[in-house]
Amino acid sequence: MADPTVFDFAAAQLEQHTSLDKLAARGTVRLALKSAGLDPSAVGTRHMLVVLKSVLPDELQRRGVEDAATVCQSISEALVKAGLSSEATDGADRAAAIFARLGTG
Amino acid sequence: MQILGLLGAAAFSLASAVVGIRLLRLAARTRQAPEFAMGLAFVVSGAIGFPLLTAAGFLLAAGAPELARFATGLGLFSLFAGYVGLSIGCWRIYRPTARWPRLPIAAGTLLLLLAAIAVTFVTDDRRPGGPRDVAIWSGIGMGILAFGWNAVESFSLHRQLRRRLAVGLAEPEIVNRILMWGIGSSAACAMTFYSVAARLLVGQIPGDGHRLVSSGFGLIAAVAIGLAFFPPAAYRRRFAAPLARDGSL
Repeated sequence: MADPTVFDFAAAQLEQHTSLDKLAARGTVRLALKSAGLDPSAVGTRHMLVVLKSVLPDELQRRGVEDAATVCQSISEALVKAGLSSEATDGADRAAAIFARLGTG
Repeated sequence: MQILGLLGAAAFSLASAVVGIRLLRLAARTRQAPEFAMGLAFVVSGAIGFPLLTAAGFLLAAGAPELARFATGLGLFSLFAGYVGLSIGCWRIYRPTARWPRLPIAAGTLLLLLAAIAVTFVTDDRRPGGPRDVAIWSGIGMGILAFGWNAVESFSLHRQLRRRLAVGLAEPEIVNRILMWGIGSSAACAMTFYSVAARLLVGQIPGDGHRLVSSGFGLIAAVAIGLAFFPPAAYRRRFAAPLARDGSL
């Protein structure tokens, strides 16, 4: 079986820490990533930690999850311990990096 | 009025030359495809091909048909080579892992090569709608597609990065430069499209009003391309982080 992605890991943690079922947990994380312009299949730990701090707490509060900030903090800690890919860059990151380089000529 | 009409074309060519040479110098250091393809595109298309084709019109009006023919041939080969570079650059910047762009780019390159050969060596039939016109405007159509593709990819990436910017996952200057390239390539696309539309609607020689519209697009493209690839320091300071501006967290 393939290693879990950062998205899979965060969604599974959310399911464990809240009363959300698997589908709702994955959908909530997916929405949070989408609102931050991130692709669930390519997100790395670094980006996910930002989403867990800045975006997901509001998404959880909207769904009636109590103490959303603490839940997100717990998921963040578990994610850091899991040691999954930190810099899983996607096409947008690569293109932005190329543009950054193109301005250095 | 004629000078105003040429102002946009001149600004576009100048911006293309400056940006293209700087990108090629960067490519010499990095050996990377995006800067090489885009640099070559700006130099051969904007700085060589576009002015040569403009000059060909004046040479023909001045009674030098042989020189005009030479300028047209060289101008078209350069312009069309630039369109190929723009397409390859777009592919290598926005979709480097995708394989599908190979086929349309190869087909477009073949079409552009055939069009340039036809105009330069095969036909001099200048009747409106004749084989020469068809070859030239097919090639220009490929240019519209190349600029259009760059514009669509840039605006799409900009929309995605703007969301990341809101949570601190993107650099404001880079996000703005990608938007500028979207605007620059849109203006270049509009300028090229307008030249085709004006020819089709009003005939071979566009009037001053049409030249002014085209010139306006050229000016927008020139400024936006400059800001996209090499924004001046004063412009870059607009995007400095608040941390750097007020010295606090």
